[in-house]
Amino acid sequence: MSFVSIEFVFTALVFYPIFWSLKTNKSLQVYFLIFSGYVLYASWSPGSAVALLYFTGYIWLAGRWINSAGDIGKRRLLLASGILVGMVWLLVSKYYEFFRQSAVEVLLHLDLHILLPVVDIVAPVGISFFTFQAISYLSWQSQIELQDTRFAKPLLYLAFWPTHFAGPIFRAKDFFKQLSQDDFGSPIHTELAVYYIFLGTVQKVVLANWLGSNFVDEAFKYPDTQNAVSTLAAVLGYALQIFLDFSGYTLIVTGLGLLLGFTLPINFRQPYLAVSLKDFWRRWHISLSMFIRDYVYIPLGGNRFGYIRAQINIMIAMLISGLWHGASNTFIVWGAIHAIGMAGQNLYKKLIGIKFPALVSRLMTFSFVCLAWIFFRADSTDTALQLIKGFSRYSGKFGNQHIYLLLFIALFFILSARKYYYEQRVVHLIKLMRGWKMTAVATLMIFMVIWFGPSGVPEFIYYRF
Amino acid sequence: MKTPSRDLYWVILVAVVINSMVWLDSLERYFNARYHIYISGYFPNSILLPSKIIHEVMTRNEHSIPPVSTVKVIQPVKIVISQPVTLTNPPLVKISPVSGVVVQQVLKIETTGLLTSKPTIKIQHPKQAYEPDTSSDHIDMINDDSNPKVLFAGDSMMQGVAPMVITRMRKDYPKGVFVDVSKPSTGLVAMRYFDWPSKIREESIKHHIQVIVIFLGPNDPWDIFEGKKRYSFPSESWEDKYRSRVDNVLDFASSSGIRVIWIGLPVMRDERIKKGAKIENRIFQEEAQKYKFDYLSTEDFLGSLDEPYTKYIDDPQKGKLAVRLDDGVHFTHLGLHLISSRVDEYLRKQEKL
Repeated sequence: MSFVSIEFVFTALVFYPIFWSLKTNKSLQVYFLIFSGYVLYASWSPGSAVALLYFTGYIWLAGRWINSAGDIGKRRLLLASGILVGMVWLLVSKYYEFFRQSAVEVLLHLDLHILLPVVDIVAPVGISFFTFQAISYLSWQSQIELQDTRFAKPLLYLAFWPTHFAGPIFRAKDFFKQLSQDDFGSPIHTELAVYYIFLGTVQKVVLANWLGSNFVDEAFKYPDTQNAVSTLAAVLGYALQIFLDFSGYTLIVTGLGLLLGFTLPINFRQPYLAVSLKDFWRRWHISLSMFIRDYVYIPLGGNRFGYIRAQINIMIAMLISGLWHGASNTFIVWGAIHAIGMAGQNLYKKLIGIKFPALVSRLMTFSFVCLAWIFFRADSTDTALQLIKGFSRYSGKFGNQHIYLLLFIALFFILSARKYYYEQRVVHLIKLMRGWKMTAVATLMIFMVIWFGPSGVPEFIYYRF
Repeated sequence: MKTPSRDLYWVILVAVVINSMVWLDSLERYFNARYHIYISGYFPNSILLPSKIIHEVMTRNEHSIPPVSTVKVIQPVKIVISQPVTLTNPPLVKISPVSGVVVQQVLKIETTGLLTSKPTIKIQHPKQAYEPDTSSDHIDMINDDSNPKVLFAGDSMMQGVAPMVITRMRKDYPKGVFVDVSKPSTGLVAMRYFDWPSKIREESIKHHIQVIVIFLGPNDPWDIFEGKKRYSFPSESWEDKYRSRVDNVLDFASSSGIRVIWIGLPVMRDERIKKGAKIENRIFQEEAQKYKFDYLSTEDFLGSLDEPYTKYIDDPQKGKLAVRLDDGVHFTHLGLHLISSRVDEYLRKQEKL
């Protein structure tokens, strides 16, 4: 059941009043939230829900062992082994087949006829997200004082449906802190929540879909027939599409989280206004970037062992970030492009260090990110390279749709620059409007979204990760 | 819950309820396609009316051609023979509104005397309801019969196959017309959600199609609702109804001089889909045979429906290779490559290419 499906809308309208009405009994509210998480997850895949239950059982037990260990050394050892087992599940179910087939190809090139065994496991929906949350849980258990953690805690944390499918990655420490506060269980910042849910839905259902169907999908399906104009439109279109899609998703779940009494981590901060790649990664998919920083880059040594080692650590972190998105060469190449880009920028800063004007830096960063997105979107590296070749075919016509795209991009950047101002204005308006006026506006808005949206239920890009 | 939050909840609830009523017709088509239920049975017609009007407005421009099911009368075609001819048994000629070759009925044949030499026959077409779009860049290709014009129709499976076939074909036929109208979650059962026979007819006429490639079926093993009648799956009446819908497509193609390649389904993981695939494949094959069209079986290279489901095929060099995705229906890149190679072969065998 997707968050932009009519089924979810109807279910949410029934779920929330029941959930709020249980405010006086927190335990009941927690169990109701767990139950709803599993029902929602099972609506995607019942098998995955069972797998999640087993996985949660393991994480709970591992967490107890870690937490009950006396000294720090033992805790760390148990934490490492706990994480290792969790990662094995992720690696085997999501990456084994890719590595098996790649290894067989390599062995064949070396004239070695070795057949590797098949492991037929279906990767549960959202596995990349909830495995990282599980790691965060184990890490939290290793840091807190000895306590008797009930099974319901990890059960709720890992089945917390607003973040379960595509993030943002909600750290255990922050989650449980909010769970223990009074806000839990009743809506907070309701007007903001409604604004987020509506804006996110427009971004996903109307805008991202418009970009995809008009500029992107065709170009990536038939890259060999594209010219310079259509290629440029596809690349720019996809850059905006993936942002509107993923940030739209994040807005929706943030709004839904606020209605439960949770403030979800911020995942985007106008990433296309970044002045460097380092800045971009502080603004794009922030919860993942921070996770990789804390659990990969810093444990590798960060920048504590000299300049060259720091660059190597950055490159490893970026490659892992790429691979995290999926078992495919395209994601590895995408991660590698960002890794090289960041190392290159660091080298420039160290050797030359002359700063460009902010506008030029922004334009350069945006162009670099857009080009890297080609590999992220393409089905194969061949497709990506074919599309890039399209830039050299100068036969394209600049049509009306391209003017619309340019206007759209211009509007996007203008609105991005003043995002918080508009957000405050709209929230203020919602607070002022009540009764039939508000009902009329909401009705019209929903009508327009359905009118301009596609038929059926559009899928979020990040659901596949 | 605080009062402003409660107020806002009621506002949203009322807005959703109003929109549900306004879009009830769309909602019904969606529920029919996804859950195979009809909600219109629970509402009086007057409640459905506004949503039906909206649907009409939205689709007015999409369907300038009437749905196949509404076409009952064949347009008269006049054949003028320039030389005298005596016809003892007037041949049954069929003239296509697409290619000008096939008709079902000849209403009037004018003769001007006795046949003395080879006559020249001029066919006067009736004015078509839909005039082909000549404003596009494809005009030269449309008028040039040496270039193939192929239509790809089907569900999400075809969405994977069509781009691969088209990419291959375009290398040898750069001026060919290849139209991919595949749409996920569609089939021949939920016709109110998506009417394939009408869509195929519409696109074939629009693009002067010569060959149609069809690949669908996993969304179909469900009850068919038509009017107030329900055809339960699986049953003989369901098979008859499903066959009539396949027939509808093939009859149009046959009478329009269009070739069809119907791709059969390979083994499926889900038992219901597998059971449906067996029945559907039999219907596809028999109907294709009836019209002398091609049926492309995928069971021999992607797994037989009589065998247990597997997502791998055996390769003597590389061992087991995955051809199916985790959902048990769709295909990996390799699986798509295998199907598209076969389709490509079949297409190149077609007389018109």
